[in-house]
This record gives sequence, C-alpha cells and structure tokens, in this order.
Amino acid sequence: MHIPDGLIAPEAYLAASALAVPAFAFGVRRVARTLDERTIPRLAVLTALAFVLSTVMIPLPGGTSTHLIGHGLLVLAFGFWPAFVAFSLVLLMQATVLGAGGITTLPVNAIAIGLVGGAVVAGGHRLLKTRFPAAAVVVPVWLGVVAAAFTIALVLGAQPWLGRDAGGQPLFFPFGPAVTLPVIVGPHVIIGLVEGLLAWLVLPVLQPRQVPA
Amino acid sequence: MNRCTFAESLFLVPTRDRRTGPAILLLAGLLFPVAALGHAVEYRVERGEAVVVHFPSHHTGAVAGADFRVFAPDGMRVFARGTTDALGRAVFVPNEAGSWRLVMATADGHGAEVEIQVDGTDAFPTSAPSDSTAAAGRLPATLAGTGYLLGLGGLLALWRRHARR
Repeated sequence: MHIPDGLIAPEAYLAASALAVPAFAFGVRRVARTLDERTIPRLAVLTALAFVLSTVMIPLPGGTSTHLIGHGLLVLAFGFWPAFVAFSLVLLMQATVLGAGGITTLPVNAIAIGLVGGAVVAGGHRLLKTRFPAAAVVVPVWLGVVAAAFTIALVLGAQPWLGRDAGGQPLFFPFGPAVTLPVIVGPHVIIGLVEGLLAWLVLPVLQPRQVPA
Repeated sequence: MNRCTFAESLFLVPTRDRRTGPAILLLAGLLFPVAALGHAVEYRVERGEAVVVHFPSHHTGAVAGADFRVFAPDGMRVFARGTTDALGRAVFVPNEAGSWRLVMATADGHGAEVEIQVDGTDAFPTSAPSDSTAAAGRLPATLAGTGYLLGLGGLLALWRRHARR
C-alpha cells in the first residue's frame, strides 16, 4: 500500500513532511516517557513482526500484489503514538533495505497508515470495547486498514492535478481517484479482515495494555 | 436558350441533376493521386540503440501493461509515454545526453522511478539496478531489517534501563 518515490508531487510530500516530522518527534517523546525496559523489547518484537508481515506478498489479479501491514496490532498492543513511531521505522526499513516504498513518500505513507489508520483503530477500539467487546479488535483493525488505503488512494488520485507539463501530461502518478479508489481500497477490504483476525489471535498472548487517552 | 451547369461546361457532358457536378468534382479529387499524398503517413525503419528498462516482479512474473513516462534531461517535459510490454519492459530512444528519468506506475499505486544516464555516444549505459534487493535477495534483506529493528529496540531498552539508574 505504501507509495514509492517518483509518484508524488513535491508539494504533497513536503506538506506531509511538515505534519509527519513533528508528529514523529512527539511520538518518540511519548515512547521514551511511557514505555519501560520491559515493554520496549515487546514493542521491538511486534515492530519486527509488522516488518516481516509486509514482506509477504499476496498476488492479485492483474499482475500486482498486496501485503499485510501489522499496524493495527501495534496500536491495540501499545497505543497510538508508540505504534506510529514503530511503524514509521518499519516504513524506513522497507524503503532502505527492501526498496519497497520511498524516502520522499515516507511521510505520506506514515500519515496515511500511522496517523489516519492508527486514529481509526484507536478510536474504534475505544468506542466498541464497552458495548461490543467481541468486535473491539477485528472491526477497528479492519476499519483502520480500509481508512489508510482510502487515504493513500486519495493522495495518489490527486497527483494528476498537482503536476502537469506544458502538454497537459501528468508529471507524477497518472491515474485519478476514479481509478485509485476501487483498485486500492478494494483489496484492502480483504486484507483488513485478515489483519483483524490476526490481531484477534495474537493480542491475548501479548497481555494488551489499554490504549492511552 | 439552354443553360448549362458548371459541370456540363467543365466536362462537356450534359447533366440532369444539380448534384452531379459536385459529385464528379469530388470523385476526381479522390482519384487524383497528388491529393492522397496529403494524408500519407511516412515511415522509415531505423536500427539503433534504445534504452530498455525491465520491470520483473518478484512474485507475479513481470509488471506488464503498466503506464510509464519518460522525462527528458530538462526534467519537466514528458518525452515519451506508453505501457510496459508483456515482459514488463519499457523502451524509449533518447535523443540527447543527460540524466533521463523514467517513472512507471500501476493503477494500484505500485511503481518505480529510474534514473538513466545517457552519455551522448551510440552506446547508452543503463542505470544501476534501482532495487538493490533484486541482487541481494529478499530473504537476507528481510532478515537484516528484522535484525535492525530488534537491535534498535534492544538499544532503546538498555538506554531506558540506564536512564532509570
């Protein structure tokens, strides 16, 4: 789901950087303040799990592929901000070690998955955990994945309007939202469900802590 | 006195319909070989060096039918556009030296940006592989990334423990 380099206009990734960098700095401070030497190794293990999950490609019709994300599990196990910091590191590793995703687009991916998706997971969990505890894991994680995919699709779909040459040709990603929304969001409806089930299976083992306010 | 039409006066034949004259003129124009040259598409076959950027996929064979755009060395001008062929190849023929940029994108947001240096000679050196993991292999890269993350967590835990003392 994460966007590679070259597909996003500088206006978009610079604006995303202006939001993501302060958010990351704030998140690091929250992690240093709230997590101790016993919880940090657990966070590292789940972060590594998210990284490994993202390398398992699931082929899709049409010659492309998708993969699991693992971010929803991080949010429910450690909270919104630690999950955002951890997943930003996952994105950095994917870009530098695996060549998946981009460096310039890292802030866009971090915002879409870490902030938008994470907020949906944390908010959904908080809403459902008292009234519908049985659904308080699968549904928020599923919604978080779909929300992240929706954000990515919107950002990509806006690129034809953000950069064109003198002849009217798109300089960056060429497809509009009419193409990106169904093509990107559709598969992640299924991926989100798998992620939700994975989180539902793994969370009891981790002795989950409460999502911080 | 009989009045003759323009066509009758032109071709010296009697005509009964007012449309006959224009029809004859149209027919003459279509058959006149010089007129056909106005719409001819000229072509010539050239043999030379082209840049071929190959997009193999790790898991689906090849990135076929993906949209690609080639940017000339000035940076902001689309020089060529097209779709990758059945083997996942994007092909273009540069016409000047410099740093060319090819951007490939699929509709679902996957893609790649490739820088290609052209030195102005007949032989066009292609860029280094953009995806270093293709040579290194995904498994070692995945293990390395996992190790980095676990190691970073370990360092952070040690620092946290040290800070508490």
